Amino acid sequence: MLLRKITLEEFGAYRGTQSLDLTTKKSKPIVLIGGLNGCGKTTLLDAIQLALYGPRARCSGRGSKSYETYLRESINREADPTRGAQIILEFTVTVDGTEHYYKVVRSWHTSGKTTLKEFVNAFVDEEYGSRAKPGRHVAPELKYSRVLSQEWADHIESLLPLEVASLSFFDGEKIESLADPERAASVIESAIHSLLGVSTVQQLRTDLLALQRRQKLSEEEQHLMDKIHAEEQERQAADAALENAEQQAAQRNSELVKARRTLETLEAAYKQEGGNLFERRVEIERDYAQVCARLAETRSYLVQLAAGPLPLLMLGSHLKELRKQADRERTAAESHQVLGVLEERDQWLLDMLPAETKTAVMEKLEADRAKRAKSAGLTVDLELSPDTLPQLSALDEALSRDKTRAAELLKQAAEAAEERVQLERQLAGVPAKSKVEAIQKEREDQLQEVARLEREHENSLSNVEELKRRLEYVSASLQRAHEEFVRTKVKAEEVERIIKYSEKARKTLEQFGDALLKRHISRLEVAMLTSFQTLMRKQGLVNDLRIDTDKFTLTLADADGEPIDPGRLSAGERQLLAVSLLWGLMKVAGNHLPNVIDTPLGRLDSRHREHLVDRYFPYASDQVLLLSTDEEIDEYLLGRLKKSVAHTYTLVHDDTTFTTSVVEGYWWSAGASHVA
Amino acid sequence: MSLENIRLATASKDRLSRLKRTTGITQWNVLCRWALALSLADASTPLVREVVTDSNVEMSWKTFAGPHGDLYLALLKQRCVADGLEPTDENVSKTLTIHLARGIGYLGAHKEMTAIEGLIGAVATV
Repeated sequence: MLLRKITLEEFGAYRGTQSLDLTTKKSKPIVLIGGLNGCGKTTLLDAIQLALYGPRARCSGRGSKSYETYLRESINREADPTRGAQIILEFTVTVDGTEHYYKVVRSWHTSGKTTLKEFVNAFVDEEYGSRAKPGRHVAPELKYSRVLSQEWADHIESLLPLEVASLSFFDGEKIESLADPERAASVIESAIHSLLGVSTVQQLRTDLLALQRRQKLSEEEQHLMDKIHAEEQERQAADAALENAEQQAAQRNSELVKARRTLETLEAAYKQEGGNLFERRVEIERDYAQVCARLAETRSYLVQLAAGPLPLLMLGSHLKELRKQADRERTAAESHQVLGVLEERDQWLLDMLPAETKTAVMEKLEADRAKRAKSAGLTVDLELSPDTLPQLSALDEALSRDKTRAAELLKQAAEAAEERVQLERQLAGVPAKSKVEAIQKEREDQLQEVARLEREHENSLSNVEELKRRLEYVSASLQRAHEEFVRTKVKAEEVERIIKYSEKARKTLEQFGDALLKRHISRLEVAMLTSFQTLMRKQGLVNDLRIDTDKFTLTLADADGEPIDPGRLSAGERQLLAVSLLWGLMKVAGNHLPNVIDTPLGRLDSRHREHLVDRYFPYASDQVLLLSTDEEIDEYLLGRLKKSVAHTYTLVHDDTTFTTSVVEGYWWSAGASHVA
Repeated sequence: MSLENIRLATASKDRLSRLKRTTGITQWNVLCRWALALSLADASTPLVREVVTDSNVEMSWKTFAGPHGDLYLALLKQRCVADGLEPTDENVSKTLTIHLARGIGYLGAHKEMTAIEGLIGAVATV
């Protein structure tokens, strides 16, 4: 890094626009800036840091003030605060072999009483180095970069870390503090870490760890894994369920077959036991009941018939006899009646007849009457009723009618009885009710059982079908998930690999870091000892210099190898030690940073000053900004330094206006106007 | 008409009770008529001459004989004469009692006659 130019506008004591060309050459690395105490040397140093780092800059004038207050107070008292102040710093940086030209403009102004606005504008010429030969001044083609402007703080950190800058920009006070061994340790530590790249290794390790930590499966992938897991479980469950269902179906099928066989057996047994006949039993029994009823009816008719004159049929001959008797009795009665009539009529006839015939006729009539009387006479008289004969006639009719009817009824009864016997026989053929009933019930139960098993079997089959479909679905889903899973797994393996290798790399880096640290420290020890011995007046006082790798403390040893108590060193010697520390650091870092050294020669005796001027300033770096009072670099020293000086400036302070302006030249160099 | 009431012997009553069940004829008088007819049809003279009518079964002649009372009376008188008895009321009554008792005995003695078909068949198929 090489500072090219700094322009101050209304900054601090600097009134108006003040510019300093800071470009140096290889052979003339020094820019000598002279100024009396209070002229603004430190302000210039502050301005460089402020331009680069803004609020993070460790400005000497800031103290404990807030950044805003500091900026507000940094505006020149004479200037218009609403127009504000501005610092423009131009510098070149070589990155990857190409020199870039940067211009950073930091300006701020107040608007109103309280608010303060600050702007950072960065301009860059990326191709500067290819056009400009080293050491020749070529006008840069600067372009405003919005990205750089907005992210300047980050960018400058990558170009020149603040930690590093704080080492390369130093003043007498810092050197004073570095002269304290305790304070030196922390500077050494931070310097080694940041300036010498150990912190980069550390950062790399941290980054790797961050990378490693980032290399987890994303939530989605985790979710996918979970899903696959769940689906695998589901498929297993479905598999098991299907197997179970199939087993169940098979079992039910065998149960069904068994039940059907049992049913067949039962059917056969039922048939054998006359089951069918039993089924007809009700019919037969109904028929039987009907026949019985018919028979009973017929019988009741017969009973009715029996109540009639039928018994008299048995007495046919008696009735015949009775009829004869009745005839006789009737005849007798009639004869008896006729006989009286005839006697009267005979008498009447006889009275009419002549006597001569009278006797003969009378004899004949008496004979007739006697005959008639004989017929009227009865051997047996049953004193039968005169109705007996008609009754007998009526009886004959009734008997013949009843007889026909009886024959009919008997025939019917016989048929019914026959039928009944038939039915009884059939009923007798019907098996014992209880026995068949048991089988029938068993058969019916079995029928129901078969139906139930058929239903169950069907259910099982449909269940199996459903589970098959489900399994298919789950399998397809799982297949898809598996494909994703494979990808995820690949990634997971990758992640694992990354973690493994980053772990390895981190270990390596740690070792590397340790090695680097040791190497740097040993190089620093050497460089610092060389610097110290170069600067020291008392050659041989310090023979060895050690830096502790853990505590970064300096240990000096004398020629005998005995440690030297820092208390034994003089203030000047401690200051030289501090300078040699900074120098050593710069040497180890590679001499490519500008060194700004502010009032470095206080407390030093003339011999030491000579050493610094002769042996340090021209070699400290490619660019050394030397801020000095006329006492520090006096005319004698200027003469010794002159051959290495590229530019000289004097900061001229006007005590009446309290403003500083920059004038070319140094007090004793040509063309320099003297102090007002 | 001197035949007032007809009373049965206990043995006759028991037999008739059974016959009432087997034949389905529920009336005493109907059975008695059949019994009388049976006995009258037998020309032989009943051996038993005295019957103790000691049961509680009793019926009037009218109940016994029904619509054919004159004929039954005539038949009884005829039997008295045939048996060499004056057909007096007393003899007719005695004859009735004796034949009734014998006829009831006949009724129970024939197995087929214990059913109505047998009873009627015995007369109707002749």
